[in-house]
Amino acid sequence: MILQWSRRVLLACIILISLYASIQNLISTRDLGGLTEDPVADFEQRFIPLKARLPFQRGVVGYISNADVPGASFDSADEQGEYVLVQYVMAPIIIVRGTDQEWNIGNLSREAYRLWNQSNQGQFDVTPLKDNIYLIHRLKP
Amino acid sequence: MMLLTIVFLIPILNGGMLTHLLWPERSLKALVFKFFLGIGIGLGIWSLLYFLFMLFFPGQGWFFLVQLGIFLGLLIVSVRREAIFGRLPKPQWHPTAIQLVLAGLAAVVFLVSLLSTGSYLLRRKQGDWDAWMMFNRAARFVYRDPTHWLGSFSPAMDPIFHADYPLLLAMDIASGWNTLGGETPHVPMVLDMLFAVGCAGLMTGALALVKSPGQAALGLIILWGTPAVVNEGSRELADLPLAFFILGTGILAYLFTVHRKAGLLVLAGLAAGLAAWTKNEGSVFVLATGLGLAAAWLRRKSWRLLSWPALGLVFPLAIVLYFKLFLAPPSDVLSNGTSQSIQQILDFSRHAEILRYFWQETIRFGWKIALLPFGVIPVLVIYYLLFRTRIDTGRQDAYLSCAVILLLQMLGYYGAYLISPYDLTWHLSYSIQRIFLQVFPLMAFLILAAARGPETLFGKGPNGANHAARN
Repeated sequence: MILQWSRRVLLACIILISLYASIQNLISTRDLGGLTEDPVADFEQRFIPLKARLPFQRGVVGYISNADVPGASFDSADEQGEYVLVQYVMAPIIIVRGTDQEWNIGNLSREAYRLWNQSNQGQFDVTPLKDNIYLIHRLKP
Repeated sequence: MMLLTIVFLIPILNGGMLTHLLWPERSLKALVFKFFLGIGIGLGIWSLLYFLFMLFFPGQGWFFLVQLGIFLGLLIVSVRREAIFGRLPKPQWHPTAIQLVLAGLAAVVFLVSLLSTGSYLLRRKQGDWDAWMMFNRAARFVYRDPTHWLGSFSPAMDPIFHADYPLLLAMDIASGWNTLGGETPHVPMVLDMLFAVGCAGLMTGALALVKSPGQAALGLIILWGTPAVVNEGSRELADLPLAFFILGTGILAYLFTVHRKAGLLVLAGLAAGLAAWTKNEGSVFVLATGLGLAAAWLRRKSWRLLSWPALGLVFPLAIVLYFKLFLAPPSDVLSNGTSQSIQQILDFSRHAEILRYFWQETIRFGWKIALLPFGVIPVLVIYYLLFRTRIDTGRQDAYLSCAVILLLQMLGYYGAYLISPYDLTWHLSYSIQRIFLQVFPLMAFLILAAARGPETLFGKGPNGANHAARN
C-alpha cells in the first residue's frame, strides 16, 4: 500500500514539476527580446557598405577591435562576441586578427581609432564608414 | 511558405519511406514511430547527398531535382510493396481513463514547450553563439560562394570557428537556401524545430511501441518538461540533432531484440553514422556503438549480426571519413600535442574537477524550481527503483549494449575534457549541460522501458494493476 502511494506521489510530482517548468520556461523566453527583432541581422547591416568596397568576394581580411589597441577600453565578452559575428556576417570572406592583410576591418570606437591611428600613421589608407567601422587598406604590403 | 514546406517535406518523406522499406512493420504505433525516425534519417541523408552534390557539381542548382527523383523512386517502390500487403490494420486502442488523463497532460506539456521553442526561435532567428560560429556560418560559406566552397576549410580560418566540424546542419541549411534562392533564417529555424519535435516524437513513439500509451505520455512529459532539452533544441545548435541520433540508435537496437529484423540494425548503423556527421562527439558514438553491440552479442556468439549495422554505417561513415581526411582542418581539441596531453592526463586535479562537474550536472540537469536546480536524472533513478520490472531475457542484450554505449560515450567526453587545450573550468561550464543533453533522451528511454507504466497504479484491467504483472 505504501509502495503504491509512493509511486503515485512520485508520478504526480514528476507531472507537476514538468508542467511548472515548461510554463516557467515559456514565460522566460520574453527576456530574449522582441518577436520581430533580429539583432544579428541588424549587426550585419553595419558591414554591408564595407563588403561593397572590398575588391573581392572571397579571400582573407584582417580584423582589429578595441582589444587590439593598447590603452583602449573594451569589454572582453563583447569583443569576442563581435569577432564571432563579424566572421559570420563577412562569410565567405575569412577574417583573421590583426592588420597583416592587405585589406582589414577596424571595429573601433572613436577613441580607439584615434589611438590606433597615432601609431600607424602613413601605413594605411583608412575609409571611415558608419557605426564605428573602418576599411583599412595597407599601403605597404 | 509553400516552397519552404516542400523543401523539408521531401527529405522527411524520403526518410520515412526508407525506414518503412527497411522495417515494414505495419501497426499504427510502428508507423508513427517510423514517421518521427524518418525526420532525422531523411534530414541526415539529405545532408549527405548535398555534400556529394557539392563535391561533384559545385555551383549548380538542380539538386532539388535529385531529391524529387529519389522521392518518386521510393514512392513507386513503397506503393508497389504496400499493394501486396493490402490495407493497413485498423488501430485497436481503447484508452483507459488514466491514459486519457496522461495523454491530455502530455499534450499540454508538448504545446507549452512547442510554444517555448517557437518563441525562442522567433526571438533568436539566427540561433545562438555556436550557430554563428559553426553551423550557420559553415552554411553561409557553402551557399554564398558555391563554386569555391572548399575554401571554407582553409587553414587561415581561426580554429575557434571549428571548420573541422561535420556538416549535417550546414549542408541541410545551404541546400534549403539553394532551393529557395535566398538566405532566409526560416531554414535553420525549421530545421531546428524538426529535430526538436522529432526527438520528442521518437521517444514517445518508441515507448508507445514497447511499453504502453501511458508510459509514452510520461516520457513526453519528462523529455519536453525538461527546460534544458527544450532550450537547447531552440538554439540552432547540433546537440539536439545528435541526441536524436543517439536516441534513435539505442531504440533501434532495443527494437531488434523485440522483432529480430535485420532492417532495424541497418537503420541503427545509419543513425549512428549520421551522429558522426552531426558533431565530432558522434564519431566517438560510432565507436561506442560498435563496441556496445559487439559486447551484447559476444556472449551469444552472434557475430554475423554486426554486419547489419555495419551495412547501415557504410554510407555516412564514408562521407565522414572523406571529410575528416581530405577537407577538415585538425580539431582544436586535439591540438595540444602528445606531451602536453600526457601531462594533462596525469594531472589529478583535472580528473577531480571533471568528476566534480559530472557529478553536479548529474544531480542538477533538469528542472529549476524557484531558481534551485532539481535534477531529473536522480528522479528517474528513483522512478526506476519504485516502478522497476524484471527485464526479459531477450531485452537484456539491448540493455547491455546501450549501457556499454552510454558508458563509452561518457568516457569519450571525459577524455576530451582531460586533453582539452582550453581552460578546463571554462570548457566544462560552457558545455557540460549540452553533453548531458546528448545522452539524456536515451537514458530516459531505457529507464522508462524498464519500468512499469503509470497505468499500473490505477485500477485493474488490461492496462491496470494486472498489466503490471505482464510488464
